Amino acid sequence: MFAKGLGGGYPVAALGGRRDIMSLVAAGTVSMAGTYAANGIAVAAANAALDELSQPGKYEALFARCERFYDSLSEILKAHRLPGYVVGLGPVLQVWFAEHPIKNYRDAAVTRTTTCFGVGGESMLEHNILFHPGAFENLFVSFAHSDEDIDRTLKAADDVAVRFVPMSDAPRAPDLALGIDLGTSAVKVMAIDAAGSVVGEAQGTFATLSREPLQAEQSTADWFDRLGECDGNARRSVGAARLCLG
Amino acid sequence: MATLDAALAPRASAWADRVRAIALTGQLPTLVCLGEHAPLAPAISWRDGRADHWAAERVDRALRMSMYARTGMPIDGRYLAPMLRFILPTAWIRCAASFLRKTISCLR
Repeated sequence: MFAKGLGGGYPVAALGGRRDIMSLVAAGTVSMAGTYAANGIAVAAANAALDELSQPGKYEALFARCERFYDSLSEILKAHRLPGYVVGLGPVLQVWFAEHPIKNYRDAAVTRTTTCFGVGGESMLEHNILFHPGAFENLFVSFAHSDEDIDRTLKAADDVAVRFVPMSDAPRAPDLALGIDLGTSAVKVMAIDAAGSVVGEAQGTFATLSREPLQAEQSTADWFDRLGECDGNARRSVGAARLCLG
Repeated sequence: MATLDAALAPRASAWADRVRAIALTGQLPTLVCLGEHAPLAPAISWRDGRADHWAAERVDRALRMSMYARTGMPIDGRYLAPMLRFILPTAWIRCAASFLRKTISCLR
C-alpha cells in the first residue's frame, strides 16, 4: 500500500493499494478512519486547488516561467565564470556547483559535499530567498511565484555570485597528498590537504573472476580503469570545494 | 619499471602538478606477470587457493620456518612462486626474471 500527503498544509492525503485490499475498505469490511478523514475544510481546499490547477494554460505558464529561470540562472553562472549547472525538470531544480554536467547520481555524489551549496544557501537567505543548503534538496517554483519573484531571485543570485571566486582566479590551493589503496575488491583514492583535512575522495569496485574452484583472478585493466575514474572523481570533488575558498 | 611507465603514461593524472606526495597500499601478495608492454595474464589474487595443496607438498614446516627466518616472509600456496603455476604456460617463461630470488630459491 502507498500513501502520500498532498494538501500543501491542509490535511489531505491519498492512500492506494491492490484492488483486493482496497476493496475491503470500500466494502466496509475493514474500517479506515482518521481525525481529518473527509474533513470538510480539507476537502473544500482540495476542490478549490483542483479548480485552480485545471485552468487552461496553467502548467504551460509555470513551465515557461521555469525555463526563463533556468536560462537566466545559467547566464549568471556563465557571466561570473562560475563552474555550475542548473539541472531540473519544470518547477523542480537544483543549481549544481560542478566542473562538469551532472548526468547521474555518481556525478552528483562527487560534488555534493562541496561547501558551495551551504554558502550559496546562506547567502541567498540574506537576500530573503530560500535556497536549501543541501545538494540533494531540490528547489521548487510554485504557482504562487510570480515573474516578479523570479526577477527578485535572479537579482539576489547575481549579487551572491560575486562572493564566489572563479576557478581560474582562485588562489592556488595548498599542495595535496594522495592516498591510493588498491584493495582486494576496490580501489580507493583520498586527497588530503596540508592541514590534514580530507578534501576529496572516491572509490570504484572491480570484479574477481572465478571460473574454477579456488580460482581468484582479476583484470589489471580493471584496476587501472577504476583508478583513473577515482582519480577524476576525487579531483572534481576537490575542484568544486576550491570554488568557495577564495 | 619501463613497462609500468608505458602502461600508466596515457593515464597520467590531470592534477599531477598539485600532488606533492602519494601513499600507496595494496592487496596482500598478488601476482602480475609483466611482458614488454603489458601484463601477460590476469592478476592472481591472494585469495586464489589453487596452489595451496601444490605448495604444501613441496614446502614442509622446517623449510617454511627456515625461509621465514632468512627472509621474513612466510612461504605457502598464497605466495608468488606457487601462484606462478597458474599463469599461462607460455607466459611464465617470459617473466621468470621478475620474481624475487628468494621465492625461486625456496622451491628449487
